[in-house]
Amino acid sequence: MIPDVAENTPRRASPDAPAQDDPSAATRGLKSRLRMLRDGYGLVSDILTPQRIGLVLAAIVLVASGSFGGLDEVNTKADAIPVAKAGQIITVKPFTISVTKLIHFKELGSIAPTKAGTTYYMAVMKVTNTSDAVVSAISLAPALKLAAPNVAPRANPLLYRAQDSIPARGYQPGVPVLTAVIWAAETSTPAPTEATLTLSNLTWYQYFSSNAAAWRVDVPAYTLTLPIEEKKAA
Amino acid sequence: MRFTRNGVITSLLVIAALFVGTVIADLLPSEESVLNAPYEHHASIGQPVELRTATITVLGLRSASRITALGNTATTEGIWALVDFTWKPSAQPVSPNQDAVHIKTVDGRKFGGSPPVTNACLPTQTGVTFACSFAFEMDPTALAGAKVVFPAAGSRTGADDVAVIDLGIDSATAQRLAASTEKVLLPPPTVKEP
Amino acid sequence: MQRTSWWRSNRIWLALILPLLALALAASSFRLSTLYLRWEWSAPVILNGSGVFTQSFQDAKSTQHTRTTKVGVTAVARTTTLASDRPAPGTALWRIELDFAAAPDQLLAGCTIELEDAHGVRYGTQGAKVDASGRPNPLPRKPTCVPRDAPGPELDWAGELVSPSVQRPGVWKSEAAVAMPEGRRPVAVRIMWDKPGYLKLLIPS
Repeated sequence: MIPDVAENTPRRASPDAPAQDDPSAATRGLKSRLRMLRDGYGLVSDILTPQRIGLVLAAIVLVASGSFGGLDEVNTKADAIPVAKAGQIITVKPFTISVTKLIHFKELGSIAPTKAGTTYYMAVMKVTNTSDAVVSAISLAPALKLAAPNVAPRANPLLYRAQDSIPARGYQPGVPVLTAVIWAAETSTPAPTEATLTLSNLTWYQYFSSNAAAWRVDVPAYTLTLPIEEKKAA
Repeated sequence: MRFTRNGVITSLLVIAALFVGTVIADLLPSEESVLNAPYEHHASIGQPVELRTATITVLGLRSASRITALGNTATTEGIWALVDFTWKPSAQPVSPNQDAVHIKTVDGRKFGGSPPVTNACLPTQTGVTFACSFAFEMDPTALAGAKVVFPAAGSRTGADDVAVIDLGIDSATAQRLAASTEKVLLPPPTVKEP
Repeated sequence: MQRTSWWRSNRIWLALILPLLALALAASSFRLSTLYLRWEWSAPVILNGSGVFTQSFQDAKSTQHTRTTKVGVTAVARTTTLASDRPAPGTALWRIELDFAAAPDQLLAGCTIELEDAHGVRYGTQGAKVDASGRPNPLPRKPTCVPRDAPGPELDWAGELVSPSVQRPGVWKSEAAVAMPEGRRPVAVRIMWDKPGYLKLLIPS
């Protein structure tokens, strides 16, 4: 007889028909294992109540996380910035820099013209780019900060190639450049005898929405405290 | 949860298929990288390369310890690599972007951009060949095997059509170039007679 | 059970397949960069010899302005020298003379003049010029579309209007020189102020 429904069509059992029986050995085995576990627990349930089991598990979790440092004291105080000395070669990403001296003067030709109420501070440092491509001086300038009592530098410093007295535009990879970093500041009295230079790392920041990317100032890497040399105008 | 033999085999096959699919998808280049990769013309010294905007021929490489251009002088603790080339715009009077032209070396570094002394190859005229020189401040140890990359237009990373010219520097030439103590004056762009 | 065929029961959507496909293709065809090229010189106003050119543009502060001027090309001819500029070897100097007529308040300063040949190739006024001794002139004097002594109102780099001290005359002439390679002939003069619109004056033969 030709069936009017395909052979593998799922059939809904009619209400009075007995449910499809699936006599698989696995189901029976699972039932008995569960019963075994239940009976086994019944034997120890007066001592190992569910609450006590919970407490034991919590203790295990605490000990396990503690062994990995989870219970150590939280470091709320910021890490101190390492201190460097003059002439020491320090890594200020993506450069290696060695600061030689700090000079204070009133004017220096066309680079630092004489202006009423303005004085100049210059840090001389040898800068080498250790990355793969050129890094512009405009990216490095905000990472260099000068601080001294009564001194308020007006803006980001200007960077010059000390050998040629021309603006330093870019630092090519692997080429050391002797750089003069010049800050203009309000004249302050009394003139400070020493100042603190803070050099911060730069990080390559990729903007999320556009393809643009640029070097951004990251955390401070080193501070140096140097005596200020007074340079009289020639 | 019921573990049938067919069920377990099916789930293992699905996991294996996902794994193979992920490996293949990782190995294939992404659409972004294919669409954004520039079209490179490879050539050597003396061979003209027709780019989208101009025809460029690199004539040679010299070196100097000091360069002067437009009244500004710059020395270096590395070496100045001077690339002499000719440039002939084809449809409008364009110039090579001095900030985007760079020398790429065997170790993957790129030299060029933000030069302290500029010697831009402009003004130019369509259909006229100009002889220009660009100076690159380089690490003398990176000269051997270097190639100079000229984009047709646009920035260093966003170029579409680039000429990659092998400068033909072997290690002996690199040592000779690195030891140069010449002081060179870079001329402005000059028309080469046809 | 009466069964209508699949084709008949889906006839409405089948009929809409082609129009919907056309709409989907249009929506994904990204015609923005072919039709809306406001950052290129993409909208020429082509006039035969002379005519009136009107353009609206935005300044650096995004304020809308309009400029209207009547321009005519009176002469385009080869010459040997203009204002001490000579053509470099292998090029010929073409002198362009233009007539302008505009109201004194029109913003017409800061234009670029170029020559175009029959293939649409553009030639500028700054390149391939040498001085009397044959040395390249890297900074030839850029031609202006306004009289040098009375340029009229101008916009500075911040978009501020700089009012003139001297009123610009109603009519004036301008001249420019382009060093074109030998063997090429210009067919049109391009005068460009702000993208995307520019004026292309066909040189009357």
